[in-house]
Amino acid sequence: MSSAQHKKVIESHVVAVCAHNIDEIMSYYDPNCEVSFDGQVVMRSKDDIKSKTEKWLLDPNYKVEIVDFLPVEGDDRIQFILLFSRQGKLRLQKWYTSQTDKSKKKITREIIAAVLSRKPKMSSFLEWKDLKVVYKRYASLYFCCAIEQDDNELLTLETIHRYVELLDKYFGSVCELDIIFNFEKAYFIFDEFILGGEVQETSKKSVLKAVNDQDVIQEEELEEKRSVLEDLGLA
Amino acid sequence: MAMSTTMDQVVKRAKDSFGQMFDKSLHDLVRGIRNHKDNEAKYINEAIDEIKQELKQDNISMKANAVNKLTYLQMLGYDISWSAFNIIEVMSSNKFTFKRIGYLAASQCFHEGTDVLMLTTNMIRKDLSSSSMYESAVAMSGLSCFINADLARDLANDIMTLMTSTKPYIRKRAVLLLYKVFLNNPDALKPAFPRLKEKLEDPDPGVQAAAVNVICELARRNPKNYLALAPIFFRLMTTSTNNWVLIKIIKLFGALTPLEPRLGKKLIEPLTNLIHSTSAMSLLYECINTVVAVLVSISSGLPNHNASIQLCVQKLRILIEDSDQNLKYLGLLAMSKILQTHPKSVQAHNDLIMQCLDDKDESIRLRALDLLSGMVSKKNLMDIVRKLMIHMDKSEGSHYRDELLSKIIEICSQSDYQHITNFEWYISILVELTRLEGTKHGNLIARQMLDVAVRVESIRPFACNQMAILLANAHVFIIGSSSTTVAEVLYAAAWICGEFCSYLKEPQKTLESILNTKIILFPGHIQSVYYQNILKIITYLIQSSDNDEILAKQLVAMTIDKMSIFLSSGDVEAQERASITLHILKTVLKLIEKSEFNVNELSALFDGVLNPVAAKAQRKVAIPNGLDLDAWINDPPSESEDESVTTDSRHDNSGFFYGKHEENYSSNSYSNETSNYQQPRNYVEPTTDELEKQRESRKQSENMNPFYLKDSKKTKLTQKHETSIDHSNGNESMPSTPGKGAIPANLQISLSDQLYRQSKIDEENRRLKKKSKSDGGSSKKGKKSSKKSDIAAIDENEDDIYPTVQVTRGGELPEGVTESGHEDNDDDIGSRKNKKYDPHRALNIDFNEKPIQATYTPPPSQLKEPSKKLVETPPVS
Repeated sequence: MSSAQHKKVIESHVVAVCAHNIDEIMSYYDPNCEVSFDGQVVMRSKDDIKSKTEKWLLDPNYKVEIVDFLPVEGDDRIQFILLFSRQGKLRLQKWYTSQTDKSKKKITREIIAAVLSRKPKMSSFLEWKDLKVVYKRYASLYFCCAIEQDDNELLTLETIHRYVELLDKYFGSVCELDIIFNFEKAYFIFDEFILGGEVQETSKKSVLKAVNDQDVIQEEELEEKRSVLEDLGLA
Repeated sequence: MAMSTTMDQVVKRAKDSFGQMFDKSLHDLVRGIRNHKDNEAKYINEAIDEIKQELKQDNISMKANAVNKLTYLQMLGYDISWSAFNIIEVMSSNKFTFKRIGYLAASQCFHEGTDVLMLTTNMIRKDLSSSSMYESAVAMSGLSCFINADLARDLANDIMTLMTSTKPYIRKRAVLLLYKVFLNNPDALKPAFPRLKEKLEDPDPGVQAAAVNVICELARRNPKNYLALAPIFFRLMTTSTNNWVLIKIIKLFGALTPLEPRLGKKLIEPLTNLIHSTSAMSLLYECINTVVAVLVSISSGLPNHNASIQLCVQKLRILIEDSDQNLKYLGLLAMSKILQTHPKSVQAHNDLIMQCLDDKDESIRLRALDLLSGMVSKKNLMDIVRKLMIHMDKSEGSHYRDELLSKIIEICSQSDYQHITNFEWYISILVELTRLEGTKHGNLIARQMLDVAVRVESIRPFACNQMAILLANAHVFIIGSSSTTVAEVLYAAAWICGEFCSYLKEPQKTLESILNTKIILFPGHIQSVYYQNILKIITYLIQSSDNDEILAKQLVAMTIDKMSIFLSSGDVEAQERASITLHILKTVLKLIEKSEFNVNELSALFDGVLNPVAAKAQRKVAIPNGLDLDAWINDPPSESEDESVTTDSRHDNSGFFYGKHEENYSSNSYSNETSNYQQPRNYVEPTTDELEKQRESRKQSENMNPFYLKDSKKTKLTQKHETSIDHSNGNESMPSTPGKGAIPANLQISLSDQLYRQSKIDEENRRLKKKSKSDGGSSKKGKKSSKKSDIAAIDENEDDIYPTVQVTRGGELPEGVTESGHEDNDDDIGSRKNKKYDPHRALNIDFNEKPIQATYTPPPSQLKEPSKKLVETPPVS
């Protein structure tokens, strides 16, 4: 039995149990699924399903008609961003869709393999499942973004390039080691540039200013500590 | 006492500060990992143990440091979900340094389902409203990664408040975060929308861009609710200079146009202006895509949209000609969209697409291939296929070559061979394709050969003799490596030669070459076809020899002699067929000896013509009058009969097949057997193990055989190809010089090339003839000067210069039934199931809808009215 068939059987079973027993319904609950009636989404969260179905079960007039448990599709925009070395070592990752660690690892592995197997003179785009992967190599690092089918590849390349420029400005001709040893800084720059998969600040200057301002706050806080030490030395 | 407390405090503070210095820092960890390349896992496990110790300390800076290291390890693939609570501790620190580290860790490892998230609500609320804008920003960045339905519900109002912040930096983030809130809590959309809409006109361009982003994302999924915003977006599109924003807006208009065609007309002008003016490729590409989409949706309403398409195609040509592989790839991608609606415009750039086939990048070649199949016509089919064949010889990588092969077949066979004018040429192409080493498409080629031979009656003589050549060289296919399925073509070859053997030039020779083949080494289904068709050829030979008994006797005796080896076939069906064939022949031999043989008795076995049957024919057979499918055929068994007899309909069949009687029916094993027997037979390819074994034994026998010349075939083939390439390149201008070498003496030129040239010459001749007819014998001198207009004139009605070949299209259907569209597609079920859950469906909210409490609800027609009117009035101020 294929998984699709299997799923269908479970679905029809859910239809059947709906009329009987709340615990059984809940045992089929899958956080990646929704319940829809006549194509209209009615419930998604666990509590929602539980409370509503209980109500219907108590109500003898309520007739449950169509129940669909369908897998949740991720939202769009930049889905995730990976930075990895020529050797396939992951240097940075940012996910804008909710994934379990296990599937993150699997996707990462597959995409790194797919990108590394590309020849140097190839285009920067490849189709991977129902996503488009846009990547570009800078020195020893690959920068790689996954976007949806109707997203603009060239704009994504520009986004990648903008990020590399930001890193370059921040670190002063950035190299892979800078990112390895200051990985948190690389993330901070990223968070100033992009939020929830959407470019939030296109001005390089503003991004760098924000990052630097925050670095200053951090240093001031460290400064406080040093003065504590000095106090101790005086004492 | 008091003294010592303060002392203690000071020491503790000092320890806190020192602590960070004495711990292993992130740098040390990274360096350590790099220094322990051989036993990384061990080193990291030790480091994790240390981190666990550090997390137990009371010292927040030590904890933050530990969490920072964990974030790094998480990236390397180590599970750190156990530290979720510690991460929250660090997030809740009131020092920005630690908060930043904590939120980063959370955004990397928390997800919707993380349990501890419910503990964070109040902390995040506090951080969002912090007086430090960076604290608030850090919280928003983190939240955008791990927000779930509960957080979205509880924090929606706080985020809305941030949208009114005095700092654009905060407003911008709040707006973007709001989108995540909507996705996780659709109920928040309606109340938040008015404020979001306001942000489209925010004084800060960054905030404005953020609002455009969010609304465009929402609208792309549920465009109809956002039609009313079209004027605002239209204004933004004509005024904004931010490419990021422009691209979003243009994409949005692409989604709105199908709902409001009048919008499309208005859009074309600003879009074409942008196409002309922009230097940003991303924007240009977006504009072209949208123009194409818009023109598709309003194709009927616009008279002069051809200009726009031409502009797009021209710009795309520039992209494709660019040396940048990315632009080339996208250019081809966009071309294929135009091809669907405006094939003529794309066909004009045939040359360019052809060039792309030589590109180094396989993905670009595949895109170009896709385009080509939509571009073929009667006129250019042979050129395109020839180019692809040459290309196949040069190309590397069996995947790409297989792709080419299937594309060639797809191009040629599309819409029932609509573009093929010369089937001899096509058959020779198919035959040449069998020489492709290691192809996986043997089956595909075989099916094409069968299909063409059955459908195109006039090609049968040619096809038969080509197939006979294949059969005579069948040994080549035995030697081929195990990964290829090219031997499948013999299945077609044997059948065609047998079925249409009257067209064979030398049937007896073909028979002999079949009998001399080591048929037994082929897969079972091919063997079966061979045995069956041996009989057909013999029948024909006897029939055509006017019952020459001596010849018949000699033939039959020879065949019987050779056939006996085939009885040892390992395949049951093949073995059975071999045995039946042999017995028929033995009977024939006996009859001949008694001079009682009548060939018509034998030929009756293969009487009748095989016609193609339409795919739906079986389903379309009408139930004849008087036939009641529900009625019993035999009387139902009475109660008194053996109760174990339950499945009646099957009994009749099994009785028929097995010739046995009812005593067996009661046994269960028997009925299982019959049900298996009735299942359709699957031809099973030998497993890789078996093939491996076969190959081993073959290699051994090859090595033992002094007469076996290793690889000789291979080199010969490539030589042949090389010469044919050289030759053909040198003769690119061949068709224009008719008369010269019409049939080249050089035998190394492949057959398809010969036919290609011949038909080019024919075409030219017909063209000339037609021209001279229409010119009424104008002078030859004028030919050169007026060539261009001639070609144009001919192009207009080019179809009549091609010979028409009778092709049986479609297939037979029961009488009175027409082949109708999709009315009984049985895959409706599949299409419904395909749509996955889309979180945007829940965001499908009509903002014009009045709340339910309102006393008056306008009828739906009035609801839609205002949005349309808004679009109608020109929005540009």
